[in-house]
Amino acid sequence: MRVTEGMRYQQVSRQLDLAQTQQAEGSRRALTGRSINDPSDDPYGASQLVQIASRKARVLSQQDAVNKVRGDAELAEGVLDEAGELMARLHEIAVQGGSDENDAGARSTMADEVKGLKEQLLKMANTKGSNGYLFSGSKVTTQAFDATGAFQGDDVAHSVDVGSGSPTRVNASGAKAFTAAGGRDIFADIDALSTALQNNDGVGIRATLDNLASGQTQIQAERGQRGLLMGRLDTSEAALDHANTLLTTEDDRVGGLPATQAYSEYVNLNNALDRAISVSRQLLSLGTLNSQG
Amino acid sequence: MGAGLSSLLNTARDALTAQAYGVTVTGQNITNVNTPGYTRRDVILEPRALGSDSYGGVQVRGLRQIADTVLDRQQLITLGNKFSASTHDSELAGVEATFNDADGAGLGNQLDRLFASFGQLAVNPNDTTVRDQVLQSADDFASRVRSIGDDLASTRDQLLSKAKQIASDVSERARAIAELNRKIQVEEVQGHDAADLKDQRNKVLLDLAQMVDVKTTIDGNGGVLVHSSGTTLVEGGNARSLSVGLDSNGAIEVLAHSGNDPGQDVTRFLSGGSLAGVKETRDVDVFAVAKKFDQFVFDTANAINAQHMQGFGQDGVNGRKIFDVFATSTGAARGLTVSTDVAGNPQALAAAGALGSLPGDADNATKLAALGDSAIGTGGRNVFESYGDIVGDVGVRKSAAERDAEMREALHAQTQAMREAMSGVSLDEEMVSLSKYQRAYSASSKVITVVDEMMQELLAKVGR
Repeated sequence: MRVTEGMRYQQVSRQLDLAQTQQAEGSRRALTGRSINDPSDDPYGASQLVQIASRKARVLSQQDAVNKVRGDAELAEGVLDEAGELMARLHEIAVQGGSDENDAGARSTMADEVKGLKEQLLKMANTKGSNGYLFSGSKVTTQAFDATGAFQGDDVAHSVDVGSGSPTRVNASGAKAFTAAGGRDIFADIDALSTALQNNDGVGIRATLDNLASGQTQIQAERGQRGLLMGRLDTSEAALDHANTLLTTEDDRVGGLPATQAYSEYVNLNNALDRAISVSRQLLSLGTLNSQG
Repeated sequence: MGAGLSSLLNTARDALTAQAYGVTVTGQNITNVNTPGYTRRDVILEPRALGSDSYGGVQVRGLRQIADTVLDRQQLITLGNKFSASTHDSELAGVEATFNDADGAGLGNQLDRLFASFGQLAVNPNDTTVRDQVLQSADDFASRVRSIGDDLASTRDQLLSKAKQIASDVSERARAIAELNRKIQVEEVQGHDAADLKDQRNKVLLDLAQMVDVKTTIDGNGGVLVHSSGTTLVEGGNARSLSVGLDSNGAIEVLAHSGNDPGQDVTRFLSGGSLAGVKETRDVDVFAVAKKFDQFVFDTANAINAQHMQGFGQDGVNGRKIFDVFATSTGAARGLTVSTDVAGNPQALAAAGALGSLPGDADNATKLAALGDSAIGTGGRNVFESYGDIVGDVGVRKSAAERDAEMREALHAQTQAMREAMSGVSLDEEMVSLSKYQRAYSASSKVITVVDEMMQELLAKVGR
């Protein structure tokens, strides 16, 4: 077979093109640390990566939701804890005031303390969180209770996807914690105690004892719900962290390239290009004219 | 019969002429070593006859182009296929870049952010900043969708312009070949060597084969018949022209014209050259990708709208859309905008699931956020899977085009090497030829010198 200059040039040009293209692709893989830099590198893998990225974004969104929800959940739990203690103090006052050894003056003083405690409890029940009033249900822009202790909110659940499989109720129920919807109307019971104390009504005072104890239990029950929510948030957080790790691993498996592999491939392709240049130089110097020149 | 001294001088003169011509042709070969389409020449020498006898002289009978017409034809076909495939591959690179989520160019980020913003709205339905973010994410999504739709439409427009330019170039090359056919015929009728004109014609044929499929046949008059796209593009001194327009479906239509006739539709016969690559990219790949993308946008926007319309804005109004989308999927991507129902009015976003539970209810926002996991359209795939399918489809098309281009390139390189082996110039060979003719020329000169000395000696003796 005749070998012409044109054949040499074509061969050199083709081989150099090929070596340069492969070296450029290898450089890109080494720089990005990814085996899939274009959809055509691995179409199925590229499609999978889109879905992995969306699942990661979903997990990040759920983690963000957990963090935001946790703040209000902790706040509500703290408020309900204090409210429970306050109810315990009210129960103590009722026990103390129920004794007939107290005269009207002593009971009047106790009535003043009860009024103060009610004010405190109202403030607690009207605590604001990141999304408005904590215990107003969906009426987050309206105080849960007015000055008399009448409930102005509702019991609509605020459910959020925190990655636990189905939307989870994240808002505390003011209705169940403080109103008859939970068993006792707390503020009415406090008013009853206050009135009985003011009226020096020993029987009336003693009659509030069970109700106040039930109210305390009611508040603690709602606090327990907050505790359960916190536990669920912890579980979700751990599960989301794990999911994030799995997705990162999956992303690496589908589209990643180990650094050592990327580097050795890059070095090999560089060497291949050097060899191609060297061989090309020799091939191009083989002609008669070149050897004479 | 013996030869006289003057006859010997004539013989040497003929030899000088023939060897000098050999040097000239060799020089021509060397000069054109890198000329595309050049076919190496060989000098045809033959003994000069005097009557019925040879008297030992040499004469140049002519030139011979060392060519294999089968290889030449094969080269044109493989070149056409190579350009069709490489054009298809390179034009698809732009489409692939549009959907390359690996470098952040695709729609994946905007899609993720849109659904993440619904998630944030579900956590803080009453937060104005969050509502602003939802609207911003929706606008970013719509904007990117339009940008991709515009890119695809613009790619199709550019490919149409390119096809028109190629058709114009093809027509020009066809006319050039017809003109060269005429000149070659005239030269050959006059008994002249038309090798240079044939080389020029080969060069133009190579140009033409890069644009359309080319099959050639040599006619009886030295002309070349050029068949392309199911029609005879050049016959003798006559050429047809190509024009490109759009058919009723908006696809490229190629017409072949003789003179000013309305033209014959040859579109379905296109099989090689960049025109075929452009048409395939525009009317097969980009068309299919744009159609899928429109359908995806149509399904996604309508699914989001349907869910959003069930919820209530902070003002208690329901039935509002987030996106304004066309009534059908055709052109849906280019027409997608944030609906005037909610644009500039974050309070209109329907996070609440019921009128009575405003403003803290986020039931509908939670459902919007979860919509990403629900099947949309008729394919049973969710939003992210549907978009991933489009990315995968683009990748498959580009990957197949790459492989085809590599294979066509290799096939052409092989044919080109075979053609080069037959018709290409080898400088080594030419250097040997140069030496051969140079030595022969020197020897012939020496003959003249010797004859001259002999004649001088003879004249000197006769003169005494």
